[in-house]
Amino acid sequence: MSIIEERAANPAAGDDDRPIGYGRIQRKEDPRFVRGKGHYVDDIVLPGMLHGAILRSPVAHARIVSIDTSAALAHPGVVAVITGQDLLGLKLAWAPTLSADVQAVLATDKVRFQGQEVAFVVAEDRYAARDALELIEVDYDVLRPVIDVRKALDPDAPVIRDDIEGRTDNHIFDWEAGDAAETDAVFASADVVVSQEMVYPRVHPAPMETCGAVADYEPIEGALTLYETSQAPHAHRTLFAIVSGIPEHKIRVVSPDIGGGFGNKVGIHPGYILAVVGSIVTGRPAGEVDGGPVREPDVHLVRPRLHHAG
Amino acid sequence: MQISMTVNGKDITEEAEPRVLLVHFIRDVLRLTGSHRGCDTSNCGTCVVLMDGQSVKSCTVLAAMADGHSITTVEGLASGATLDPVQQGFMEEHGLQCGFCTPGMMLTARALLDNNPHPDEGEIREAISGQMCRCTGYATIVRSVQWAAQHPATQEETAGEEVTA
Amino acid sequence: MQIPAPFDYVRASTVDNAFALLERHGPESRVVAGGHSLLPMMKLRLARPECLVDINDVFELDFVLRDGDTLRIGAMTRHSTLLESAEIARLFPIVGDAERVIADPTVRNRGTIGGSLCQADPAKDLSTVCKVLGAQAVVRGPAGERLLSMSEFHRGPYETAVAHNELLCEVRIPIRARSGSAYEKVERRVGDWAVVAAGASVTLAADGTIDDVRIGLTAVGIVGTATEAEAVLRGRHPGEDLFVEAGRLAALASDPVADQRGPVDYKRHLADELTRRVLRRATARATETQEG
Repeated sequence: MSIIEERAANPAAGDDDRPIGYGRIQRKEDPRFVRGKGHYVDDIVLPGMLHGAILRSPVAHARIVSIDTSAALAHPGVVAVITGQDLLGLKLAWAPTLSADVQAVLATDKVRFQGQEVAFVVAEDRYAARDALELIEVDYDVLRPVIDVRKALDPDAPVIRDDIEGRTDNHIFDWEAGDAAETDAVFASADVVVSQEMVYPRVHPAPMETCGAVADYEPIEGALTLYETSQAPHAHRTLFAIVSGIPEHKIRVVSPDIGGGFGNKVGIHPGYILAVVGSIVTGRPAGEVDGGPVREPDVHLVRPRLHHAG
Repeated sequence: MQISMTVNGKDITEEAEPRVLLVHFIRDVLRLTGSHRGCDTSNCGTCVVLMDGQSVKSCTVLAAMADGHSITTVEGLASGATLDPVQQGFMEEHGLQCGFCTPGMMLTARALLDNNPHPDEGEIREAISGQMCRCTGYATIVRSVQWAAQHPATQEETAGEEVTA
Repeated sequence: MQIPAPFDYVRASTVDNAFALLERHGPESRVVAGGHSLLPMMKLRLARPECLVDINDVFELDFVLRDGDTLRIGAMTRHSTLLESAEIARLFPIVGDAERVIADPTVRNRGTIGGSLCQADPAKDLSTVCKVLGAQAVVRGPAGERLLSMSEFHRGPYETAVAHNELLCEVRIPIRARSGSAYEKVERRVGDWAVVAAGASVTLAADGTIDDVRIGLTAVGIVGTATEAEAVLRGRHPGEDLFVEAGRLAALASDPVADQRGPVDYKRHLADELTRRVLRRATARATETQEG
């Protein structure tokens, strides 16, 4: 039986001088949280659930020559080892992103950043999954990386996104706002114009709970239940339908308690999709809780200008 | 190997590999999921439990090393329906939002108050300096611990100690 | 997800029992104390011992006691105990200065002085502290006991003179009259490794001149102490001009590497500034001791 605290009546109720939001209000989730009865993704255990572990690239830019998974597959407790080539066959190697681009779920041809997902191990427990990671042999043909945004547009810079047809440089997107002519006119009349390059470092929200997912694909009905650290479960459902081919009405996305998000859990991380793939491939629920990949810092080139009055 | 310990006042014995981390033992073997796994690197403090009354980061203690010791997790803070003053303080002073760091924060606060029932703000901040919270900005966590310190139950304990001394 | 590779685990009950267990489990066995240096390395799989010999139950190594002109600290003494000891605070204030900035209180509940010294990480604060205090390491093995200076004990990064079948049992610090010590560290965030840190110990002669001085720097690539800086101070009356010169020489002797914690010139600047600060504070404390 659950225990509910005795609380004083909300002083706001029925009083025009004290509108909603007036005064102190107790949060409804606190009685569970202070007892350690939160229900986060890593707390979920389903019957027959397997555990996943992701092998990540140690280098920033390299062509994948070969991946040997045989020793990992032979490791006790390992149920499946999935590579980018396996995903190509399932048409799951690439997924759309929130910025109208695509991202690799697992690297197929080459790795494009350090920490990129290269292989996925599914095992009976997380210790076996972790152990098997070091049994996977990847032969990388290391390419010159781009490690400075300011040099990314140099004519001799290596092209990272050669997966996009016709792409010959690293110019990824254009973004414009405001009235350029009017702004220029204002600055042209300024007494003093200060130009400064401002380095805006990589900013990545780091909630205390890392990202994770538990996928449960039921092959007879063809239905998928996905528990994940998601701030946007409805958008995710649509995307999973597009990626997997499972009709949207047969996908249920559950966002349990979330240990902080701050925007980091709006997008879809490859690990979420890998949990789904793991469940589809093995026919059993598969979970994955891991940190996100590490990306390059951004540099923003801006020209703040001072306008002298009088 | 066989591992025995007292967890929240109850004696338990379980089988586990020597390499099993205490946080995994508590969460996956004992299924007490209130202790969380965050950074994995003894920085974030979401895995903090009390070992013989002292706060420890359970991601950096082997379950085997805790054999024979007494562990308190967040599930052992309340006695039945009566919450620990620290738990009440966190609710009263909005010491939590997402709740992920909360168990570790509360256990450190409990260990602090057991040793020092009248901590000043600096002492509270020092005590929780090995733990991170992304939601509250810490000000409300400090107030939560102060609320607990001023709670009659904490005051009574102190009075009792003084009489004994 | 960080999980160590498999290993066997045994618990030692006494120092002699630890020797027997290390012997039995062979060269790939390793001693674990608080575990806050070794376990993170094992979780990253940078260390893969086949067997851990846990010495947390070896209570004979957990002590702080004064023995004439020596303070003896058992290797299993936790950081939190070092910080709470009134005797250590009175005799060697540098220890408290350093302990307050080593990791955080929860980590200090587990980590030990012996484990910290045996890890031999060049950025470890306690290594500098022990060097500055002229501490000796008591290393025991089946063949008997060896007494080593810190420069003999630390052979290089992550390398000590402790053989596989030996244990660091104790740290002995000489107690000297009219002495003061101090430590100061610059870190990027609470509990982090030092960008740079400095420690100093000053002993005054009866006439108020500097009888003896040791200056240690953390994480700037100095082996031993900053001897040139020490030399200009000895036999002189302490004063700001002298500290400025000592800071300059300490910075000159530094050989830091640029990394995520900062560029070389910044680290050298810190070596200079922190040396001056710890000399000021150590001298003031020595003077207080003299007066008290």
